[in-house]
Amino acid sequence: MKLLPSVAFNDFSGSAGNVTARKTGDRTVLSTRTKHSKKKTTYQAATRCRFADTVRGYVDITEEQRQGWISLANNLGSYHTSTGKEYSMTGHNLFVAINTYRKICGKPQSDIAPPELKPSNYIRLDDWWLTPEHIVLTGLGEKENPNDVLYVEMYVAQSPAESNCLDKTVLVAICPNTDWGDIDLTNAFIEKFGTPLKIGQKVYIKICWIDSECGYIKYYSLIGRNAQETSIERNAPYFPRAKITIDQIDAIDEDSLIEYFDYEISPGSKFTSNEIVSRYFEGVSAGCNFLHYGLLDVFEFERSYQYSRGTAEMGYQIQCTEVLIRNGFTNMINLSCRTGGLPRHFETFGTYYITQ
Amino acid sequence: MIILNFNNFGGGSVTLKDYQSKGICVLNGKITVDPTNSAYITATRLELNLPSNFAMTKSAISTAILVSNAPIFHYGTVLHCWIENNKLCIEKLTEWDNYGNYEIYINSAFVTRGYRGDFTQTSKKNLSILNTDNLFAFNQYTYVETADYVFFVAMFLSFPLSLSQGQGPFTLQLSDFATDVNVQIPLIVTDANTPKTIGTNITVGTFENGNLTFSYPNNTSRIGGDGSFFNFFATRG
Repeated sequence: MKLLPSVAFNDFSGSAGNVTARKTGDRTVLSTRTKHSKKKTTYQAATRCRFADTVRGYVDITEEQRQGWISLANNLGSYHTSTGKEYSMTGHNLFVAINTYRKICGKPQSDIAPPELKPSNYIRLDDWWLTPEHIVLTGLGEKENPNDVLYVEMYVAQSPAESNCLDKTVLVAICPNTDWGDIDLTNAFIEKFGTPLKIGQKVYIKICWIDSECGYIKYYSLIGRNAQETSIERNAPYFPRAKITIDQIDAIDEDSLIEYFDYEISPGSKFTSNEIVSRYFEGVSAGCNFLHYGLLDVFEFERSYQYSRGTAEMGYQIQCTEVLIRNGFTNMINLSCRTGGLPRHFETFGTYYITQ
Repeated sequence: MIILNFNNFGGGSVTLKDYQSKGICVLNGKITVDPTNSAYITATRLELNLPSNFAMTKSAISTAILVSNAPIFHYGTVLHCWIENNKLCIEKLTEWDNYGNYEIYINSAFVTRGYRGDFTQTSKKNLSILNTDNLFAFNQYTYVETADYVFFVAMFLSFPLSLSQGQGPFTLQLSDFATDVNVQIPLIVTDANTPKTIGTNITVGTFENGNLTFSYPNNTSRIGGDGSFFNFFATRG
């Protein structure tokens, strides 16, 4: 809402067309009616639709439910707008606000007022990359509240001269979990903004933990940095985790199929923790081989001897299976049974030393 | 030692040997499960509360071994086991519940993920079999010894077979295995000629003073042989 000094309407209050006049102290203030932006993007349409649905939802709840929201709003007291005006939160406003956040976080509308409201919280960060290829934040830690999700807004300055961008961020991602403290926003960024980052572009990120059940945005971390080739905190080149997932494998060959693959190396000296499910189509197999595209060249020959078992239909029989990751000259994953034959459908999992 | 007093399956207190650090924890011990307990029946997985100051609140996947009370062969299998929300969680399988109370052996390492950086190679240590009775011969083995724990996986070319060598007890005598490791481990004692069953033949052995001792049950038709193996982590001291 835009505030205009009044000269002509000293004792006038009310609306005429798109102009509203109201008395504030000994002054009359004119304001213009708020209008939607003329931009019509799918995202904006979805946002407006979500907001309109939520506003209408208040009409459909029962009187008892409405009183619950009003009671909770009354307990919140008053708040101040950016113009300094003091308002009291209404039940309607609170219903819309909380349910808007719920919908953003993927939760259904709640007709019942929650027992409490939870403000969002700051994040902590270890290191992060803002490069054209990787927008990755690390060291975010584990969420303390199981309902928390990471709420991420971003904005890319259109030119180096553009300033005051902190209020221009838009929602880019809701992350229900981190991947052991990491979040990778590369794809979400391209989906939102259409093109990858360019080196030197200034990026603003607004990020917080928010309770997806009854949270609202209050405290958040706000950072603005230029995209660069190395990490922001340690100035280190991007270094991926030593990890192979199912989407980095040619998961089927003529004899066998990988149904699940999640493999990672941890330090101390070298451990692997993994879960692999495989089946072969016919005959008896001493092993199976699959191409992978997962590891850096520094890994060459990663071998672990581990427990495996047949799946339920194979009677849960135990074997000792060698999981061998070859990397560099040939990028092969070899699964072979070291005690007899592998059942047709088996899984191997656990934490083991890697040796050469 | 850590004592786990609370669980969701109606079991008693469990004492585990432990090594704890931020990046790796090793646990050794045995859990007894009563499959007729009402809490067990309603549980979808087994959970044991870890001490509040346990070094790791979440781990990657690890393993445990279920050893059933099935007569003679103690059929069992390997289970998923992991740490989540400061609880030790174990997959629940009910295939052998009809045989009564069963045991779950945990001789496992638990690690975290998310590391970016350099790695060093694991240093292995050589072992020799000292037995002169030709009962034991390694096919392959890997032995890693650290100041706080050991890792040992061994597959055998020769291993006692009940049909020809009887019930034991048998002792695998080793040179250079840490003498301060005292642990009970499940031995997977099955070979290619063992009839297919639900689960695998298991017997339990004990590492003490650097040697492994175990026996087979009486009236065993066929157990052990050259497909036998074990795979475990164990704390020292």
